[in-house]
Amino acid sequence: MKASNGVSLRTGTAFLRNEFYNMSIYRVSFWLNFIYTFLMMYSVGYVWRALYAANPSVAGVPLPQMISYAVLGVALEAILHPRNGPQRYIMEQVRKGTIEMDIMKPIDFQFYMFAKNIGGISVRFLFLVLPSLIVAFFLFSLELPNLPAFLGFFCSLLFSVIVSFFLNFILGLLSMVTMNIRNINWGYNALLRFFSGQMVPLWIFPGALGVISEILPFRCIYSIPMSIYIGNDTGIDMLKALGVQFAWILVLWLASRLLMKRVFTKVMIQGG
Amino acid sequence: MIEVSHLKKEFKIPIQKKGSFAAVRNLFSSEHTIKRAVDDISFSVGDGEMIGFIGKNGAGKSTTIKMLSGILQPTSGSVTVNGIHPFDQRMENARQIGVVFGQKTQLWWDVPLIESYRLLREIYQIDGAMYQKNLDRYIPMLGLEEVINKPVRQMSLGQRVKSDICAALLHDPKILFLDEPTIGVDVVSKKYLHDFISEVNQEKGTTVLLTTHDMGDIEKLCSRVVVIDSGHLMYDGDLESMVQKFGSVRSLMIEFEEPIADFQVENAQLTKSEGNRKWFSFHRTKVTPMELIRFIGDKYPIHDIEIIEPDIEGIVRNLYESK
Repeated sequence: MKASNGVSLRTGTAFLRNEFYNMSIYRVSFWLNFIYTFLMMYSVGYVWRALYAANPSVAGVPLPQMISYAVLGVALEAILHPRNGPQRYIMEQVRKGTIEMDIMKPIDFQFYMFAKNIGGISVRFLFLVLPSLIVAFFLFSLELPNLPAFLGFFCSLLFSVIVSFFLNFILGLLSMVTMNIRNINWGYNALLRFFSGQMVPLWIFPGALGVISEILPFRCIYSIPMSIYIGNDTGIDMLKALGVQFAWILVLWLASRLLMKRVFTKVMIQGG
Repeated sequence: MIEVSHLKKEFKIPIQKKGSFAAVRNLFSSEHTIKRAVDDISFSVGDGEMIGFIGKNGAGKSTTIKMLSGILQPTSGSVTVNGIHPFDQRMENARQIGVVFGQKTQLWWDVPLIESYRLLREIYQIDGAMYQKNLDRYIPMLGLEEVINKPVRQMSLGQRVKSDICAALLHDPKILFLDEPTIGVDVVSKKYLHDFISEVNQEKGTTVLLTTHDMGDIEKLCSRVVVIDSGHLMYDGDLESMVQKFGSVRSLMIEFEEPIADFQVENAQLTKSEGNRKWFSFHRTKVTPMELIRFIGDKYPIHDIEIIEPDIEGIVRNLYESK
């Protein structure tokens, strides 16, 4: 598969290799991440158990399902946290003034960032998420989904990765304009945690908050795949949820392409 | 190979407010001044030519290179590189050029050098045989054997620049842009680079456009120079005649045995006096250094001498003043 804009599967796998090297260099950080993920899983499990002991109907689903949901939320955060998104690399390159070396390469910039991001996510999934989930499975006796739910979850997780990439990529483009998005990134992270269902399931949000979380795209990242996994969205509901994710992918893809074009034409690249 | 005609590039620079709440007011301000970094420049470069692109810092050299490599859009005027418009056809252009910025690297910081090359091979879709052939040839030529498995962040500056030049040539570009490639590089590495660049130019007919502040680079590599200053084209022609025309003022430093009062010499001007040392500037067409030394040596005891050749900056200054 060859294309004039450098988009190809081989290029994608080459980035995977590269990210693997990146990861293997920062070994200490990797192990700290592993421990962090594990401790977080343990704490959310503990918190929900305590909440259920006080009020068994607190979250509207049985406890084992709720624990599965919460632990999965921690696991997915290890790959979907904005700090692993392309905006961090873009911001760093802008600061060093080397972003032009990236833009100069004969490869579509968005695909380049996507391939790099997928490379990182795959490595993190294999070496961080999977092992900690396996340990968590035995420790917290997590629930395994049935086959349709599992297939739905897998599909939904792919969509979630793409939605998350687009949002992060848009933030990265903004950093080319404003030179610094540290604060924006921080705010985004806070919003994401709250409105994505990563920490607290969205179905327990009251009135207005519930509506806001429905409108925002953040639920595509955590809430939808996790609800499918624990069997909260089945059958037609599951298809609807996947449809919502797909619609957001289209919208964000368009928005990011337009923004990228504008940023590349308008923005002056520092130095000269 | 490269055609530049009436090229202009303007930048909008926001006006920074001063006084109270300046930071807040800056956020809502859209006032700006316009800076013309490149102002009506035209030149062309032939196939296989090596030209030196010189000028002071901020003269507009890098801005021009950025327009030639497609990352900046010209405000007006036109640029074509091998018949391609760099900004509109960025991908096509990127595949036929190689770019090295002496102060920036295109390699990935944390991965071994060979992995960066492998990734570039995929990005540039370099044919397997050609990739291997180029690696086998360039790595020994540049002496990169010992760093090929090292990540860029562990390299010395010289090693890094050599790695970058090799990277820029893996896809056999028709044109190579070198932006201050020898800045901060030691003499030995510089020699490697000079030899390497001329060999690639001769063997593959690669067109080379080089910006530098180092007269040595120009003398070793370029027969033709283009000089720009404040965005304007000042000179375009061969190096020889530029030096003759504008580089004819040299300096002579004389260190005397003892402090001596200032004195006048025919055909030379006393420019500086410091302790036992005095500096004279003179025109190479009017007097030779030997004549000066003999003349002065007859009067005062000389301890040491040094002849200072004009540097690029000096030549550019002369060029500028002559207009």
